Amino acid sequence: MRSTGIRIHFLHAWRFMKKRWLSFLLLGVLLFASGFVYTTMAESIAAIRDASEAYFEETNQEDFSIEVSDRLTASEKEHVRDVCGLQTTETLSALSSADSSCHEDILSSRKETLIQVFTGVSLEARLFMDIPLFRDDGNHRMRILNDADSINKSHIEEGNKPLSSGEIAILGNYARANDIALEDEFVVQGETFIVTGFVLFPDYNLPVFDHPFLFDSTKQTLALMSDEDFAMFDAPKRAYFAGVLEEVSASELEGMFDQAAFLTAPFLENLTLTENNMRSGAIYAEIEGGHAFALIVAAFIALLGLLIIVLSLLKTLRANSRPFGVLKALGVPDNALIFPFLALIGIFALLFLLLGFLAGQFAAHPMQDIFRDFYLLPEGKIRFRVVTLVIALALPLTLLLGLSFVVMKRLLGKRPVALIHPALTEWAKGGLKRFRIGSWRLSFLVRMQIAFIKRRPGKFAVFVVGLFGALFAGFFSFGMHDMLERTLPEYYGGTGIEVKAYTEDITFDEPAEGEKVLELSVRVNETNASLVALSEGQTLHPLKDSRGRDLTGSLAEGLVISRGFSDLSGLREGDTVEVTLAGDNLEMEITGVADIYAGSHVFATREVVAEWLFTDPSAYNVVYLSESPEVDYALLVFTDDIVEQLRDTHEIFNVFFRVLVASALFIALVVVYLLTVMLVEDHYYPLAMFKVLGYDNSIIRKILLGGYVKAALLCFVVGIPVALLAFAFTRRWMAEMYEFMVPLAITPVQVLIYFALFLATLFLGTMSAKRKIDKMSLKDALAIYQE
Amino acid sequence: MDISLKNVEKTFMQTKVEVAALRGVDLEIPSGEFVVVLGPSGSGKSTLLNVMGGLDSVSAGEISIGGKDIASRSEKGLLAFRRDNLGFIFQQYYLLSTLTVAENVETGAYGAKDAHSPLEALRMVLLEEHADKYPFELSGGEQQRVAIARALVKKPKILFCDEPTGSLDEKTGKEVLKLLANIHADLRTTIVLVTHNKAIASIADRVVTLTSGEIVADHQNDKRVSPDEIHWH
Ligand SMILES: Nc1ncnc2c1ncn2[C@@H]1O[C@H](COP(=O)(O)OP(=O)(O)O)[C@@H](O)[C@H]1O
Ligand SMILES: [Mg+2]
Repeated sequence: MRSTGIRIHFLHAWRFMKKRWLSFLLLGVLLFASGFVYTTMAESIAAIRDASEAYFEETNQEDFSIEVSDRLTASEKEHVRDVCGLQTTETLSALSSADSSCHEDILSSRKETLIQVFTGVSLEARLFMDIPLFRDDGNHRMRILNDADSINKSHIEEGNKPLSSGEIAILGNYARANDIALEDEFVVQGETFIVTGFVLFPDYNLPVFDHPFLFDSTKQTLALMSDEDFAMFDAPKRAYFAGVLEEVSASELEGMFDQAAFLTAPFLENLTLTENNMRSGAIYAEIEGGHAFALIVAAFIALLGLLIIVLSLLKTLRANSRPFGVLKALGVPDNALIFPFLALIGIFALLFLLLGFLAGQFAAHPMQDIFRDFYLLPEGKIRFRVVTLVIALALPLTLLLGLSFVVMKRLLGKRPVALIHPALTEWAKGGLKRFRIGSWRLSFLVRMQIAFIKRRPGKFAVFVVGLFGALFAGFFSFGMHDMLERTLPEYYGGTGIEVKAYTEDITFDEPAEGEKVLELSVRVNETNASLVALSEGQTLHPLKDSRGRDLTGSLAEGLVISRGFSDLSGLREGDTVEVTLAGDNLEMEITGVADIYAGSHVFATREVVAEWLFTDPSAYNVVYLSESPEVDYALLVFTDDIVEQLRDTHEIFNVFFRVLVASALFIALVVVYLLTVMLVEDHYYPLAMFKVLGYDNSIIRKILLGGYVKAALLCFVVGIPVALLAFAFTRRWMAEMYEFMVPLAITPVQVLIYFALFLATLFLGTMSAKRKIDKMSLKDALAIYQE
Repeated sequence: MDISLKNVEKTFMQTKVEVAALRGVDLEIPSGEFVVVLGPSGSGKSTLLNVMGGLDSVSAGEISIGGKDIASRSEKGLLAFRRDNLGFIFQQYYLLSTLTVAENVETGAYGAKDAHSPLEALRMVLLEEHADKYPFELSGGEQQRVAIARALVKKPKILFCDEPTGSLDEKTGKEVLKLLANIHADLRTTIVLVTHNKAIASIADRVVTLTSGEIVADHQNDKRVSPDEIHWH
């Protein structure tokens, strides 16, 4: 009459999907996420990479930067005194306001000295001024840079370069955040400028004011003026040297730096290779690693989805193995049974992957903006890339279909009889015989629990590793939570400082109010540090160690370093160190470690430092105040502004961390759930045997789950010290790689919360396993052992 | 299609011990015959049926159906051969729970060149009105009849039945047997039915008795009775 096709088998596969809609929904969500994550990352990174390469080329980005001391060296002071006739000038920035040609003299002599020390490079001095902006919504900050000739040239994104007096270019991000358009007026220190363009600079160690890598473009901006305005602008100019490698390699350069470069160039402070700079180095790392990272995350998510579907398939196939066996007996080939499943799963997966891909194309724009905001880069074009499409779609799809095919083929590829009458011997394989293990001194239950673990050592390893991975993601997200709160906010919160008032130069007159402080960039042994020298007997800036003990006494006896600096430098209490500034050395003992994570701070007594450097114990350059000062200072920094600024940027990070915690827990949940489900599937037949033997459900549950739950709890307990070790390792590693502190920490309360969440997840997982065990009917169990 | 077995042996490995399930079975079943293979549990009936139907391989000996060798065929060739010629029913019905009765019947027709419609097949087992129900809505006897329809839908020339009434009570079991008898009468389908139930033997043309993998008796049944007249044990 007619030949019947595959329609009915499609119908069967379709009903299978409908019945397991929850699994498929989860698969869909995971595949969507996988396609989305990969596409977003890949597209935004590709756009940034293309744009950045051209940008770095065009602006001639520095290969390294050389930080130099603002304080003049002894011979420079002599020159300033004798040639320029300035008696009291102590710093380069003060000199820039006092006598610009003398300032240029010193800079060019420093440059010459540097070129002698570092042969085979070209250098250009980079000048910059930090200016507070008083705007309606609070205090903003601006860093005005000179227009470089050859290294780190400015890049105008939009509009025109300011060429004549009264023109200015600012950051596009800042302009957008503050509703500033081209041609608008912009007031800087009482002078009115016209915004002619939006500018970018490729030197990445500059655009950071108070935090090693956070830049809040809503309140901070870089700026470019005409050369004339820049020279005339009344503010102290600080300087560093930007360099390009000509005939030497980066490692040779580092070698030159290490070989007593300080002897020839006492003003030398630090050499930073662009690739090792937290901000710029991270760009390269991001570009190189971001892709791989996205791929791994996407693959991991896709793999979870895969696991779900394979488990679902396994279950369905096992439930249907006998009917399928009969169909095979009747002459229906495997492929007619398998193909509809594959086709429907494939269409379904493709749909969600495609949705993820499309959503990722859109999300790549804001993602790129986040990168751009962070790294201050020009905008690249997000365009449809076939490679991304292929990787985002084809990879997970091939994996999914390939694995599903293999699983189904292996299960259905057997002879019909093997499907219809699965032999007892086969099911029991690798199981029942080995049940007589363990010492008789252990109770029956414990022996059985061990037996179940030993029965599938590979799967148990997967269980432990999977659990550990999930646990770890959680520990890390908890550790990162509120991480930034632990830096500056905690630091300033622990002091009574409201305002830091900076003088233009080192000052010796008694200030009208507040505590005198010397803030200086020094080197402690090999590591750069911010030295905060506090007056004896001051109370505004307390110092405490991690146990809350007062360190004022230790301060009088030597150097107190912050926990952050200790991590960065590897220095500990009791070490004797050499503190260096502009060629002068002072040997000091570290007498305490203060519980401070913000930056690389070290503390000493101001009187001691002042006497050492300026031969006058009254010297200071900052006044710490508990309220706004009455008199004028060169620069006022409000700690509330800094903290608020950090918190603003923080907000995104906090959201990010929360998403991280949530997704880590979600993944942990999925993993634990899958693992427990897998347990029952794995041990189905021995469990059935227990049923046949007449064991109570509750005993069977204890036998199977007991051992695994114990192992899971053990994982958590072991996970705590391992996580703490990993935190310490990460801190060290980040400190070494990027000279950047990651104050990962977890409080006992967080551990408790996490433990509760973990228990809940485990409980949910075991609940579903319990349900499965209970649902396993005695009839099915008997059927297995009947034949 | 005649079935011919020559000196067929089948051994299984059971935890390192060889068990002989069939020991030199010789059997000729001419086309259109209704044969019952009788024997106690473990005597090798299912094994015999499986090797005859090409569901399992033999350890030694020859099997041919319609003059074509079965034992030496590839899995793929066997599959196509079974599709075109053979039908099977088992003690359990093994229907797909997510498909309706009619849909279950249709699954048996895959690739068949000349098949009944599912409804026609259901009409033969008197279940037309249950076409749109799901298996769980039917009694055991009805489910077995669906399984028979599924085997019959592609018009097989031989029907192999392994304890088809093993899970049924007397009344529904007899209904199933009546159906098989009718099918045999109407379509002249060769039927090989294995059972441990002696009562059933009386409905067949011929009774082959199997003990410990050997044929110990083989005779024509002159006093064929209708399934209604037999007594269950
Ligand atoms: N797959 C198998 N593996 C091992 N032994 C088997 C297998 N199938 C059947 N046997 C053995 O072969 C013998 C005959 O079995 P079977 O043909 O099922 O008998 P019957 O159907 O008459 O009850 C029995 O001893 C049985 O244990
Ligand atoms: Mg049998």
